[in-house]
Amino acid sequence: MPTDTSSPAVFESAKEANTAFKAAVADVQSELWTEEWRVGVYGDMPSACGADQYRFELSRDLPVEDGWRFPADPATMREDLASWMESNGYTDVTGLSYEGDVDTLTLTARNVGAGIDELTVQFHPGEVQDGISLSAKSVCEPGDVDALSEEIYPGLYEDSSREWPLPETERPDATPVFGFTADGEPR
Amino acid sequence: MALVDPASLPHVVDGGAVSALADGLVEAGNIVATVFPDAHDRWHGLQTVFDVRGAEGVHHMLDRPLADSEEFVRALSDARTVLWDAATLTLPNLASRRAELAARITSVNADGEAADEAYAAADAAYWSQWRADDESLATAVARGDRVAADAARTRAADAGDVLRDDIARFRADVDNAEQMIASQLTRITGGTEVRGAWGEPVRVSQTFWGFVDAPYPGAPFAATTTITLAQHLTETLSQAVVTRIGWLGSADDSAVRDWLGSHPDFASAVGLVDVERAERLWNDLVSDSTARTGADGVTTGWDAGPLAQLLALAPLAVGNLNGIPAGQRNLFNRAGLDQLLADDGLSDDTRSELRGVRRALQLDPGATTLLALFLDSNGEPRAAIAYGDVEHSDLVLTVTHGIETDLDSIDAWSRTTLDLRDDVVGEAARRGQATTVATIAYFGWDSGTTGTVFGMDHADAGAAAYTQLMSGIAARNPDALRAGWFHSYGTTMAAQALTDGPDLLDAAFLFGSAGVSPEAAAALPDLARSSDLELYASHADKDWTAPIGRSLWSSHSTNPGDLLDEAHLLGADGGIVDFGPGADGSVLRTTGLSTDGHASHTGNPWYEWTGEEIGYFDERAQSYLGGVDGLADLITEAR
Repeated sequence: MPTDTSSPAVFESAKEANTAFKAAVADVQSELWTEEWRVGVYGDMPSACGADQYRFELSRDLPVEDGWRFPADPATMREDLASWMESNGYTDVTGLSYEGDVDTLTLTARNVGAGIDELTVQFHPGEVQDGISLSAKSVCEPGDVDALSEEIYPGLYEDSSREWPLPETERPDATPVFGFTADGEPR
Repeated sequence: MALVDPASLPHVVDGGAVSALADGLVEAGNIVATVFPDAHDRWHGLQTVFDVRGAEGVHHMLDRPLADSEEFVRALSDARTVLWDAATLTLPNLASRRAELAARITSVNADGEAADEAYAAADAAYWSQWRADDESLATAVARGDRVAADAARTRAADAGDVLRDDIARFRADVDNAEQMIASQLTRITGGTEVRGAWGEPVRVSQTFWGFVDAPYPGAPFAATTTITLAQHLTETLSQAVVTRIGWLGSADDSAVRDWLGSHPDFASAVGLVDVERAERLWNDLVSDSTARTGADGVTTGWDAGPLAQLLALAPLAVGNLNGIPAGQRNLFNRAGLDQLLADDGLSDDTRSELRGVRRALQLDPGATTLLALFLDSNGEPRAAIAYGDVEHSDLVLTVTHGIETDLDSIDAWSRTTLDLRDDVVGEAARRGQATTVATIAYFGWDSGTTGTVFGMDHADAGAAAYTQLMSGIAARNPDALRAGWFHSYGTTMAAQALTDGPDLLDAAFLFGSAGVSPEAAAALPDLARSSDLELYASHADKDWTAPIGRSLWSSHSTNPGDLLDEAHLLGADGGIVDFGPGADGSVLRTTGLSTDGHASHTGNPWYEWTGEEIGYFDERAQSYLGGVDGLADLITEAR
């Protein structure tokens, strides 16, 4: 826990947490699909997590291309992912599925050591195309959401008309954006 | 047995009572005729001691009521005349006829009885003679007496028939007289009369008594065109707000700032202006203003005219108008957000909530609209944030909270709202239906607290605001499907809105309902059965909080789930959600988690002390997945 409460220190420790969180999620994504994923909630804007705490949340889903199908049988993909998680520091790995003709599968887990408080992967077989949705919440870190968000997005609370562009799709191996400079450059 | 039943004779209204009523009207009229002019004179005379700039017209305020009172006195006088004529002519005539008939009843009945007795005696005498000697002279005489007595009896019966006819005629005359008095009274009219735009007088029932003729030539009559007091007040309020917005756009800067300073909640009334009026106002303001346009032709600002002034001084007075372009609402409301945040006098809580709104606007850059933003009459901030294009999407979906929830929770709700949009689009795509969806986190109402949850006040007020929001969306995007997800007391609000406006939504999803009002309980089943509204409800067994809202002493004690068929109940206890056919015809099912309590979102809710509980809107919850399935059905079935 940082004792330096200066703005750059706050920013740096948050960036470290965000980077670790996103890297861990990216590893999970890579086990499923290494190409572009569609971005839902990007995950660089902190949200309040109790008093004086913040966390990051993100969501990604597939497909980007119409007509996409699972690269392998979804039940197998789920089994493989669950095994991988158990071998890679994930705890509370649970899958929810029934026997018989149930096709859609959900898997949840957490990896507090890697900064992930909750991760959910849902497989959606479909009539015309398949899908995967992934969402993750980071562990809560001490810090003030207001102050931190202003560090990540300088001028956030001064000009509500301003919008900083974020990627609409992203590969797991891409370096994620974590806010912007005062000049509007992604960093 | 009596020939004529005395009870068949109708009563006549006592002329004395009617003339007493007439006298009462005279007295009332005299008092009004004295008091009103006196009040008006005193009021008018105030201008010698009361002279306020901006209120010069105040001393004329009783002119209209005085004119109306004079007309009213005349109406009373006409009524008095009708009643007097009845009391002094019609009714006394009828009364004396009645007395005459009553006397005849007595005599006819007496005659009849006597004739019956006489016949019985003559008959007995005849048979006694006949038995003694059937051919004697005495027998012949007795036979003759009996014939005569029979004839007398027949004559008495005939007199009874005639009397009954006369009584029937009398009854008809009494009815006619009463009808005539009544119809003369109803033709007496008086009250406030205004002129419609077409120049003809228009009368509205709450300021005018008596016969109401058609508001314009060829219009349907009275009962169907009566304007209720609520509608009248709504129109008056709308017009007052619109007039004020016009003033804010053109008055002197310092006057505008002063006025807004003393009316910080004005923007909360703007959302209640009806859509047509808002559209007209907007068009007027646009025609008087100079737009600043960007490279792609989109209006990015206002350089001159009333909209420039409003953007600079009172942006929330425009941004909250329902029915104007969403892009402009976004422009004005974001400017308003900046002005609010720049105010040093904000409380910490308000500032924190507004900052939450600001953060939520950056979640989907380029596709987020701040549709509404204002401080309510308690100084609490309220907002509506849309993800996606509300004006062009195929489906517009609102997500709304229950009690003890406000913008303090916008971080969680905004993410849910955004993810829900993507989940619905994804599910529709998997079924082969490309679609566009806009979701709105609707925080535009005060849902109240545990202290107010049993009442309907907050639900009613919320319903009025929500109705205007969706009406505005319907006006801007008429082809879109409209749907809403509601939680807890939000369902109570939604049920009211749907009861008052059945066309408001194509689908409504009620999660953990706190109950619906009796009038909603009466209206919703038919609405749900019709093809115009898909109504779903979801309640978790472990949700013991929602039923409290439906307690017997609550003003909304009906569980909407009890009104719906099995197919419209979304399971929330953990189990399968059937999304329909998958690839190769296989059945597509997923398992959803059970909702562990009443919460909308997973976490530790404010009222429960157990560990982390899955909420209705957790994306893994059976209730959430069932809702997504229902929305995908709506989209695919609408095509």
